Amino acid sequence: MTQMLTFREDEDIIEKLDELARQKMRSRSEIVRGAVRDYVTHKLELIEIQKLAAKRYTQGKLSFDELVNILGYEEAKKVAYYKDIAEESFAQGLS
Amino acid sequence: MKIVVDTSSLLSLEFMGILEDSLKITEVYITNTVETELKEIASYKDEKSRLAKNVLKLASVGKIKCINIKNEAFSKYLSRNVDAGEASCLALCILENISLLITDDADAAYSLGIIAMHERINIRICVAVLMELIKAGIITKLEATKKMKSLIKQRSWEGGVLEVLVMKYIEENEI
Repeated sequence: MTQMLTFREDEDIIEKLDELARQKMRSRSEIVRGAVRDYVTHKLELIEIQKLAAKRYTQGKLSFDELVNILGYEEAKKVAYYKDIAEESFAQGLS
Repeated sequence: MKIVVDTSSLLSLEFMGILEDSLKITEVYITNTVETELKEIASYKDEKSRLAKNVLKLASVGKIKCINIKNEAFSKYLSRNVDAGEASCLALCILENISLLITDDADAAYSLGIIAMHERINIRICVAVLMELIKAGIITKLEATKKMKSLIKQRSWEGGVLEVLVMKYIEENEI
């Protein structure tokens, strides 16, 4: 079963979308459908990997360097920062 | 004690049924941008809509204080990971000298972290409010644990950092 999805987008992005559609000999809708499908699938897979890595890091089963190897430096820093503020929230409340 | 709370954390606090209780121990501040986000969420027809309406009710009677922050004051904090609501909350902390910002968004927290540290603002997640309610004797550790578990489920945070820390909290406190 499919559902219709409507959304608004800036003109410059629509122009790029049309350019891509011309180059690929596809319709606007096909390009958008493919992009949404790829993004959602990839993002959900990534979230699962991030969650698992973050869980093991928080449990002390992964070092920060190992976390970097899995998630990349920026993402690992973000997980480490979130873990720190979450631990502070438990330990100190609003003090 | 004053705290600034962003949109998703307000919804989390209301979901756990502790937003009104938290007003007994702290003054909660939001921005006009957060209020606008809440109004948009309230216009949908889902669970979050009900929560947003409840938060807006508290703001409409002045129990939650809403402060106008102009776009120019927070646009410099906007990024791919920080939306207008979160950026306006940081600006409010700086402008009103409020040293606690509550956000559950890991991306936004990390992106705003350096500026917050420089401005001596502590970023906490909504769990901090629960811990404060325990200290004040308003809720028990067991009640807090149940609320956290329910929030984790509602926000699909199973298997993440918070769940690990909740389990650790249960273990350490023999709940």
